[in-house]
Amino acid sequence: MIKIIETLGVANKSLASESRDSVESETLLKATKIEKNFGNTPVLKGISLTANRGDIITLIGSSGSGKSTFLRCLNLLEQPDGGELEVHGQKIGFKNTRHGRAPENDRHVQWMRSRVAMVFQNFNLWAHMTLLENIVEAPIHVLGVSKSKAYEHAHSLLERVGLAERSEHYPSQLSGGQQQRGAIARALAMNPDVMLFDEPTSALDPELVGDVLRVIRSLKEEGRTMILVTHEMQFAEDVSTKIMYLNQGKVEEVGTPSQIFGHPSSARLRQFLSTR
Amino acid sequence: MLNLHGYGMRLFEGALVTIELAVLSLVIAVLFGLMTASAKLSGNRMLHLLATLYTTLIRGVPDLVLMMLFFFGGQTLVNSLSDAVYARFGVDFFININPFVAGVLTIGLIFGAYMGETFRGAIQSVEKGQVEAAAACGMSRSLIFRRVKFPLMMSHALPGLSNNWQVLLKTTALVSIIGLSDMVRVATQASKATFEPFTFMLFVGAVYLILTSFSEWIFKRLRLKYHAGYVGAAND
Amino acid sequence: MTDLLPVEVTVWLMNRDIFTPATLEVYWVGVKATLKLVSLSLLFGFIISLPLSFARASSNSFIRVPVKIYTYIFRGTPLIIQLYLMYYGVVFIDDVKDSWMWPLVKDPFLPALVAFTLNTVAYTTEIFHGAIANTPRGEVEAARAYGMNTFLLYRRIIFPSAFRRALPSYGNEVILTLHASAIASTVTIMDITGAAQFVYSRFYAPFSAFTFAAVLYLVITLVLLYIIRKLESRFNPQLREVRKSRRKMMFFGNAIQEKRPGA
Repeated sequence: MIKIIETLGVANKSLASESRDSVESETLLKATKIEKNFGNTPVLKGISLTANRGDIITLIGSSGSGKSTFLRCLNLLEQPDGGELEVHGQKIGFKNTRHGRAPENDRHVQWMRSRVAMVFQNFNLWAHMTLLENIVEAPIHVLGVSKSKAYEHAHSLLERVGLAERSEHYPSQLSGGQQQRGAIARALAMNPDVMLFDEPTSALDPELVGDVLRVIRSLKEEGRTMILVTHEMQFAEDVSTKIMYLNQGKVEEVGTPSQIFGHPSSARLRQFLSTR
Repeated sequence: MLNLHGYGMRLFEGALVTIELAVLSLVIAVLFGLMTASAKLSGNRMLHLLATLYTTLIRGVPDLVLMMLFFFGGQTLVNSLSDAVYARFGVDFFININPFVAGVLTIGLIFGAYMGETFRGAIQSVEKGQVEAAAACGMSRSLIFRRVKFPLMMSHALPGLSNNWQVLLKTTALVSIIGLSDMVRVATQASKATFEPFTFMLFVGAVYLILTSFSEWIFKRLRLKYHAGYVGAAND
Repeated sequence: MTDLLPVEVTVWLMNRDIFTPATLEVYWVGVKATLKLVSLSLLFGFIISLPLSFARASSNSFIRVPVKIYTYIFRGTPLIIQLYLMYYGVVFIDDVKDSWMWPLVKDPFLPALVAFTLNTVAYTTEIFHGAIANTPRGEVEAARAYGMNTFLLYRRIIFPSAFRRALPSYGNEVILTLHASAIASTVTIMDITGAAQFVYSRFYAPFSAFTFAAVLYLVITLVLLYIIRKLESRFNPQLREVRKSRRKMMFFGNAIQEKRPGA
């Protein structure tokens, strides 16, 4: 088991070094024809996505279009019923069980998740830990980073998201905006290859949205690879390298922000944008 | 002043029996409770049915009747077992059920049924997002349980746990009826011998009151500690 | 014969003749005694708890504190101690034997009834008090806004609303009083448990004797639960649909919610 991870780790490193000269094309995450049903209702009807280093891909669409479900399939919080997933060129294997399709190897999934960090709509900071403990938890216990290093890193991350003074606070003592910035710091502590954002500002009061968006924007500047689901259209237009418009479980239109917002070709997308 | 007519030492020993009995029963009850809760949440129909049967039966019958059933009934069962072994194999043995062990097991079994409900509720009230966040960091199942699910569950279970403990403590008084020399039994004997029931019963009552008040205080502190994450509203 | 048959069969044969009309009669006497003791304790308990629960919420500490101390002490000590105090205590008081009270006290029923009533009053008072304290502020404010005086407010708004909220806990208390009554047998009352002990000592068949008692208690518990559920859905119609679907799932598993809250 451990061996698999080690070899994966090696593969990961060698892949990273090989592609250093061709940064443009380095594929970090690739999903092919992802399908998902809830009961008999298909919610994802074969969606594909490729995230290269430095890409910022935003998924837009009305509620029920499947964008959040798709994002959750990317780190297997939802098990896709069909399609393939590749992280750093490593394919995630699936097997068929009595309860449907499931990943072949739990350790493989755990490794993948440690490379793909997620920021949730409801923050989901662990309620029984202080902000600081939240941030060092996974680096210490999952990545095996030494305590002193993890704490050092955590302090610098808190500094960066503007929460240095709040490190000893519990989540319930923080505002929504502070919790979400803390959650972003927690995701960054893993040094992830790809960051997933699931409607990171939807649960926030309007006046707190700005701070969170500013932090995400700063991540773009350091070249992070991100996949976002958001309703903030102006923000999506500003930061994204690519926009995917989802409708009823399918990709209706893909393009650069200027294409999507400037010259939407499908009637549905035009209608969607006009109601915003 | 208070005159215990030389029963002071025996009452003290009785109090120790009460406390030992209560603490050991609590351990058994927590084990049974965790097992019951996981059986009920396992999604396995057979396990669920078994756990439901256990909790329903235990909670539908008075503690004292269960105690007598297990204690007196258990002894005859063991006796007829040893009779049968003697008749068949000619091996003679005699097991006397130790009332202390019987008491611990019975009280543990009874309160396991109540703990089961406490733990089930506590496990269910752990928010899905908390576990998802842990999974999304790449934590393994056992790590998620150890670092996230269990501590969160315990903080939800504490009020129920404290409540069950208080009731359990008072329930130990019933073992005096099946012949264990706990505080209450010593007090009953002393009352009959000295014709001073008020002295001894009030004394034992006061000891119970101290024990329940003390444990309430401890649980309050524990709750404060474990609920640290839940106190205080958002302040921006 | 014993060496040829499996143990279980031998045991059964030994116990086979314990359920004669005579022993069933003993159990029947026990059921009647249990029901009488429990229903009277609950009835008196209910009547006494009502005023006490309002006193418990009083802003006057001379009224509130004594009630608080009373419930604290009675909920913080085992019922069996309270029972022994009533029973042995009264018997051993000097001069009681010569007074007019003796015929009343000689019979353990009255001391037991007093002990159980005092005990259930302590728990019921706290249950009612909790329900009253949890009355939504808005309901009280609305009543005030419509010009209700305090008496009317309590009678028409707070009490009916609190009663609904208290029902599940009170139902729990009813069942726990039934179960607690089993210790009446220790002061020689021939209730269900007393009957089982009698049959046990006569036939030395503890398993059958106590199992039968357990079944009797279980049946009474389930009947009480059924009545409580009926009352709950009568007074809380909004719960009806939820309950219906939930009950199917849980059978009687969750029916008895919890043990008594501690001190």
